[in-house]
Amino acid sequence: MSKGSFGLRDIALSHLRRRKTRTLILAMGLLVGTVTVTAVSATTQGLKTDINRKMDEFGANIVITPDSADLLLSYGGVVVSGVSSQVEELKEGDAAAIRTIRRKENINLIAPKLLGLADIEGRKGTIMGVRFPDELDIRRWWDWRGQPPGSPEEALLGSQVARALGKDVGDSVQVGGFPLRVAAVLEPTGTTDDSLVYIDLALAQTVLERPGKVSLIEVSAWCSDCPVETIVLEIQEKLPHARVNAIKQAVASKLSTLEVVSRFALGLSLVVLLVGGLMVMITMLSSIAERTREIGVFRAIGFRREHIMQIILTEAFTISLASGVIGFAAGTLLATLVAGRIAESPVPIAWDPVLALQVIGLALAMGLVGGLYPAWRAARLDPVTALRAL
Amino acid sequence: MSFFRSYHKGPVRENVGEAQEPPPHPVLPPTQRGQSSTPLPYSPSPSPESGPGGEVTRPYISLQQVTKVYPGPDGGVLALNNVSLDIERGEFVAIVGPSGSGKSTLLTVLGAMSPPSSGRVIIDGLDLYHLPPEQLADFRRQRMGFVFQQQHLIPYLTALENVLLPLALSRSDQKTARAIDALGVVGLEHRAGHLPGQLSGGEQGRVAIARAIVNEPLIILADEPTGNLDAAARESIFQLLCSLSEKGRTILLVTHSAEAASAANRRISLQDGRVAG
Repeated sequence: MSKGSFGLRDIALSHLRRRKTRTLILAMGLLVGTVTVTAVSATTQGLKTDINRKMDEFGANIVITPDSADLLLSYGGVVVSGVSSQVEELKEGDAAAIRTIRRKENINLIAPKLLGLADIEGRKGTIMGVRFPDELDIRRWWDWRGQPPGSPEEALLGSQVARALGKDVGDSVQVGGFPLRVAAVLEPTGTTDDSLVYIDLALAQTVLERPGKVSLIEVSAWCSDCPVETIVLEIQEKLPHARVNAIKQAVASKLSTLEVVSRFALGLSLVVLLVGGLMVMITMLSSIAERTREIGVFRAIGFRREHIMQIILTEAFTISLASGVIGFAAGTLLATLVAGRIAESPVPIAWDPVLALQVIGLALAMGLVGGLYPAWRAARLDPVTALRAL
Repeated sequence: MSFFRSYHKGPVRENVGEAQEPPPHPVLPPTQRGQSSTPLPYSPSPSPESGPGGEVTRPYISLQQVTKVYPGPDGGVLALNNVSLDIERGEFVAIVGPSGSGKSTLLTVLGAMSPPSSGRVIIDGLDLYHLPPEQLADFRRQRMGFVFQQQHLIPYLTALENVLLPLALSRSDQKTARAIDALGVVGLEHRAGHLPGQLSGGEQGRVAIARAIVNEPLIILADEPTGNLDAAARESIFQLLCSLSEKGRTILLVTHSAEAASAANRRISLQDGRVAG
């Protein structure tokens, strides 16, 4: 209190300062609310970024095929243009060109493939030439027996082919006249992958006599900060002779997962908010009941009803503001501790100024709405009745 | 600002309703200094009478056929029964009577806190309960000082802050100086920073009086202010009230104590809600 300035605000602040336990109880309701809302929001935001990234890495979300109407082969639902047509084919150099787009830092993996029919152990079968490290990275759901192929002399067999050929890990298999060692056999996937023989891309180009050519290129791009369509357009500009498509299924499934996460966070926050608001109201009502005689003194001395409301609401405002600030800080710290454990990998939690404003605004709204009814009740107290209380 | 410290020794007047000698010249104008609220509207007093010299005289406080019934079963409780009283400016009036006789009710009705069931209360020409509730609050703050039975100090405010309460709405920049001055009158400047819990009963009573006088009210209403105090504390509080009366304040003191009543210069006895003499 400064000299000559004692007013209603000083009464409210003195009450909060000198009745610490009561102030703390009042703040607890708001703190529970603001800490939870902040922690849930910050964690959700962090997890969304993490999920976004992981889902982008899980399989391809862009596929590039030759621009042709000549449809002969399809792979995994993706139609691959024919081998024999006159259309301009994709080249291995096209894969490298993708790394030169403007948003090249969004490109995670590029997996070029060459698909064709070849002689396998004296029978016609479908082979797929791949770059093994990229291919195994992009198909994270694959499971296999043995060791991933490490040299061009090694092959990976789909489960169905292995069974048909009677081959297993360590056996030798003739592909286009080249003897290869079966390094690994895929566990059944239930897709076209089961009926393919995977060999090194360069070897496949030799076997199929299509040096430097590829049938399709799968791309895994991180799209958390831009729509996948933007990247598609940029690749299309670089490869005008190719058909570049986003795999809608991957995008839709990602969006739907993120939507579920957001809805869960919103629902949880609303429940916490409701409970916090009710706690404020109950605590303030009980505080008003205890302060009846004191309010009677204020009224007897000549404070108007509006002055009583002003005192109670100043208390509510101050506690809400403090709870909002402290709750935001504590919630963000909590999120940094919790989010990493939930995701089982480091999740970046940012000090988000927008979230800070939202949480402080929310705390103020909760505190003032929760304090309004008790303040109104207090203001309505008749001075004589209030003085006789107890 | 300074207050009298001398003990009042004027004649004691028994009875009510008679015209009295004009009091000493009032110290304060009817409206207080430094108040932020709008001035109270003036309502003409009822039929002023002409005095012998032709000047207009009217009682400062006038209760006209005031009845107060507290609602309850069997028609409620009749606390005041057709009470009529005139009190002049500067009078020190002791209101005495047994428990339940209506003393405290009379004080709250006079104190602009509790409207009568019927009748009128006129103070300085103002028909009190014709004012809207918020203006009644302003009236209490600007013109009245209250000393409650149990002091009713606010436990989380220091002695100084408790004294400052009636000035909390004032825009004056002299508020703290005035409050310290009022604490000085009751001899407690050195206890300004103490909370009520750190003060003795007598000191709390004196802080309550400082709070009642800080606004320089024209009327001080005290309800058993010495109820729980020892003889020395009682004596010092009576002295304070007397000196305030001599300063022109009108004092209405509800008490059980003959000793307290003897400090006043007029005594009103209540019995079953009626003036008994």
